[in-house]
Amino acid sequence: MAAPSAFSDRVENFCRRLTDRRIDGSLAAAKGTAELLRQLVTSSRLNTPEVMLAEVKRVGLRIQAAKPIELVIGNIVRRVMHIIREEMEAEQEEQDDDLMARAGSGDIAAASGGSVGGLSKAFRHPFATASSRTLSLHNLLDQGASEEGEASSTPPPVAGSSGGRRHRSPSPSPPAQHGGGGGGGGGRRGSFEQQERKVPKAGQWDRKQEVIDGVNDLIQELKDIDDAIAAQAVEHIHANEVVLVFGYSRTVLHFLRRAAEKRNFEVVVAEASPTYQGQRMASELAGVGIQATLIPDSAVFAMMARVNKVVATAQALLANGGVMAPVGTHIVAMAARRHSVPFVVLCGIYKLSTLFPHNPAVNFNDFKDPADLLPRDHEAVGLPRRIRAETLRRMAEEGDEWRSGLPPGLPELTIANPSYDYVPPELISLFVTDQGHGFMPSYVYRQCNEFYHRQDFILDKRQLDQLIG
Amino acid sequence: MQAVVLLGQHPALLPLAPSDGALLPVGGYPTIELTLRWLESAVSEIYVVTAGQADALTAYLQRAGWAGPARRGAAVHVVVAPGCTTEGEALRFVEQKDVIKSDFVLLSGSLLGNADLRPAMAAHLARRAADRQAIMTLLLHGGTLPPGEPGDCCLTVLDPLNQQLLRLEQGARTGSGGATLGTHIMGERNSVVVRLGVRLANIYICAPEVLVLLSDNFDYQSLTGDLVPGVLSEQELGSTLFVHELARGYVERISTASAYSGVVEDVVGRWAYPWVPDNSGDPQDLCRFNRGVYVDGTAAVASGARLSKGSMVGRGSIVEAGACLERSIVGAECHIGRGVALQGSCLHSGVRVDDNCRVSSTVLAEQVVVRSHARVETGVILAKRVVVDTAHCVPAGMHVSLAQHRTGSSVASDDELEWQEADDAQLAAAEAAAAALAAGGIPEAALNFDEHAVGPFGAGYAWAAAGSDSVGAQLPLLAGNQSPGSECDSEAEEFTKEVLGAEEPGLEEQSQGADQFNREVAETFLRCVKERISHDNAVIELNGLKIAEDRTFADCARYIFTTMLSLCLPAGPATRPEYRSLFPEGKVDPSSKEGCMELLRRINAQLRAWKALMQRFLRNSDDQVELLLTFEEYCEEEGDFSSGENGSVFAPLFPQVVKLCYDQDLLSEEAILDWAHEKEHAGEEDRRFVDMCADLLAWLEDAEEESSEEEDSE
Repeated sequence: MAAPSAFSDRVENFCRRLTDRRIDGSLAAAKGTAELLRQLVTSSRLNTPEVMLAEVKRVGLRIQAAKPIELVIGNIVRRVMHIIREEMEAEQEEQDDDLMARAGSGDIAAASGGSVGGLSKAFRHPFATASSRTLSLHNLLDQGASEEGEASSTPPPVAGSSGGRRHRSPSPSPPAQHGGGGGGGGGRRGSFEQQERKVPKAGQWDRKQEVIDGVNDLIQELKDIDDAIAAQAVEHIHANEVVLVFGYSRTVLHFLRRAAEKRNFEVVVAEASPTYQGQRMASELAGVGIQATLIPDSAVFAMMARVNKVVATAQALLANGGVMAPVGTHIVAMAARRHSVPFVVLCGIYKLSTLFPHNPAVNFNDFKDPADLLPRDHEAVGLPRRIRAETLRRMAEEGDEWRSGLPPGLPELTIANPSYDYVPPELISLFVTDQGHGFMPSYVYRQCNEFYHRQDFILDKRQLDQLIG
Repeated sequence: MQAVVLLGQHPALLPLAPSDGALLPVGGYPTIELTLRWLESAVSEIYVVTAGQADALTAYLQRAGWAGPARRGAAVHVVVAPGCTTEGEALRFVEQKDVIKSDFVLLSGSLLGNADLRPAMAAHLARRAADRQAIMTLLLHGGTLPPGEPGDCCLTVLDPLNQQLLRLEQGARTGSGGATLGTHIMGERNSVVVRLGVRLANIYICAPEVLVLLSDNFDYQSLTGDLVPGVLSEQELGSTLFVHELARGYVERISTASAYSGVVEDVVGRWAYPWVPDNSGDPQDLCRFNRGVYVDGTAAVASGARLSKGSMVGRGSIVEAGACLERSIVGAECHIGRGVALQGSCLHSGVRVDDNCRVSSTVLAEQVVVRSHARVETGVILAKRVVVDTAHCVPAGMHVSLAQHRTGSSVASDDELEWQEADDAQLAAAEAAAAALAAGGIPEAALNFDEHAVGPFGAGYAWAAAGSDSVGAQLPLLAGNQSPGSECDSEAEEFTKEVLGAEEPGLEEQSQGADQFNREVAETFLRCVKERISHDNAVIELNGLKIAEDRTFADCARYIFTTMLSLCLPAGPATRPEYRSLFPEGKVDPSSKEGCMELLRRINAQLRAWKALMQRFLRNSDDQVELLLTFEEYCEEEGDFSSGENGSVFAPLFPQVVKLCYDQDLLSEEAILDWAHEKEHAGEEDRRFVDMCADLLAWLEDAEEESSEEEDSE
């Protein structure tokens, strides 16, 4: 079988490129992951939703392990798992309704085939799922309990088991019955009864195509991410404002350009040492006719008094409403808070993570090579080593002292070059995402429930246990 | 593009890595892994050329998924080039394999880094597209070495407009006199750039023509030593060389023990990012970097242990309370006892350091056991499975291994095969004994390990430390840039076969060829004398001969020497007529005093005339001992010299000739003493010449009391 090995090769290749930092930026990582997962769910091997979930999780964890710092990988995996789970639930609901219809009226109503698309679409779109399925404060507790029971009672999926295919009515229930489904509690109970009689199906899962469509939508979302965020620019940037940005960001650049089509404003760019990508940002802004001022990072505080708004970007949006952002963002946020300047974070919803900053699985920083700060042939770098070598040589000559190892207090220079900052939620005023509305950090928990399934919040329980234990 | 990695055999790393340094661990990875990951982004096919045993390397590459069908970004092939000891030889071997089809990147030695090679490759290809003759691009480190900083560096003369290389001087240190540049170097240029303190990155981007050039000039050994000067001196052929400075990024070569420690320190200091210990990409790996310390998730570090910045504790290792790690790397599955102080040390996997030991600035290889209260002093290298006894102190700078160091690599190479077998058996016995000792028991077979190195219940043999002549004189194989102070300038670096572990040609073959080789060297030498060929050219001819016949420098030296001696006597019957004029007419009577004086005068004249030539072939004291042995043979008219040569004439003059050679710096006192030392236990007959030299030896020993003391202790 050539296909699975070709796929695992692709996964390994992608992992390698992630590890070796040849994939730059979280958007590229997210796109790559989503495309690999699309290929995975399309594969004919995965013929039951359980197998599909397990496989997506396995491959997802493999990719995440290649670059633990890139939280978007886990997010994409959770999104895909969420799509699969939604389809499973929709199917379940259909069956419940079916059953109820049978029990209630005694005959199976033949209904129009078109409704299946409409129904599953309703579930696929997270926004349309305002039904009882979505977790909320009022069903949060019993939901978790019933799911755990479900998870434990589900038999491990056996691929290719030749159990007699359960005959389902080919025509799904009419939408009217779906609407009157009897509330969340009733549905749940039904599903329990259903569990007992459930037999693994052979052949393909009926709803596979819906899952694939869902993943395609996700990939499309990633493709249009900058446009979707920039579409709201005019609502946030007002005329004659002074906007401060930090370093280079494709998203922020897009956002400001879109705003400049309608508004006239000024941008102050902090250069963001040690990469100095702010210089590029300033030149590109100036290139499109936006009035830009380049300042060193150290002048951010002084400049803040004249700024009306800070527009920043993030590497990841954490579950408590804090963000992981390029190093230096924290001081900008602090300065903004001091001067009561709104601190707006632009970030695609794919960066929303279910992990909290205190979670040990969140590897907070990526320390890059010190060459950004000091070149390797700089005297300060070579000096400690030279002094050490010289001490050794002198000790060898003197002989006696040689026996007690190196003396303490030799010069030692450590250079740290972190990539990220953690900005706590209380410093952030607003998130602007591609989902068409801004929200506050306190609303993030709700967004988590909107986009991910509760069971997937922690993908790798084993690793977490290991880290804590 | 393709890449060729020439793995070197580094004598300084010999106790650690018996074959090649490819699998030496660096921050949790084998070196070759980092090299390949680095190259993977730039090339599609990698050939790893090794002269040592490739089994372990191949096994690793299979396991890590590099070899076999192109699973990773680049396909990796291992090429075993047995007996190839220099860059030139290895590349000629690669050329014969006919695998290089296009321009390729050449890495000389175990290199690792994170510098982006793609701009350099693009620049090279662009130049090649414009001019087919731009055959090679040499990569340089960015920036220059500040004066006073240690390290190899060189002087370059460049065309500022296109970075064409006009001159390359190796070992040119700032303030060491400088070089003379002829005006011809300007050519039609308005200006040239002269730079001092430039460091070669040991990376070359070559056109396939470079391989052709190397096989045409089969005496080219090193790229920067032979090929570059060769191409630059033959400008009329039109080939041009260019340099490319790496704007940023890390490139370093592991060639000595100190370079190894330096690279380990750099990797832990994150200079080689993204190849840092906490970024292996392996789901099983849980190495975390926190406040400058790497600790694996599965390692157990007691809360009472102190880890300083730049330390690392590998998978499954245990560090007990009270242990103190200062810039030390602890590999996987190690056990560090209570109160242990580790300072600037590098521990490979499976090392056990018991309670209250002190270990500073050392390298401990796999499975080493240091028992409680022992001390390992600075600069020590303990090879695999060595055991250090309780409360013993390993003296500074010592290299200890379970394999016995083969000293005196010049001793008749005929024994080589037996040696190899004996070595394997001996190593197995030593490992068994070491295992027993490590467990605290008594080994079944008593082996006399070096007590002063590892203590009464330790296991291991002391090696002559690197830096002393026996190892240090042998320059790294495939070394591109030679250390400035060494005698060998631009010629081939020969590495004795013993060190390489390659098999010698059979015994018979050797003796068959000997006669012919003797004749050819003699004849070449005579022709040089007759045609008054300059020394340099004579060296080239003789070198060519040596390489064609696969001989050592000592082989050349001995036949040149005997030919010189025969030039002091009237021509023998076998001499070809065209050379007869070179031989003196007058017969001498060795029995009379005047005859002796006359003979010595003639010898002295010959020695003085050809001193420089001889020195080129006497590269270390081993070669010189070989020469003495030859001289003995010659005087006794046995072995190669049993027919038609009247060597016996010189027998009574033996000590005087040795003294003359000593005066002319052909023989060092060390070599003479070594020779005498070697003969110490020989039979009466064999000691004849040593006894004759007794006066000379006594005089030498008096003069060098200290060094002879050292000799005794060895």
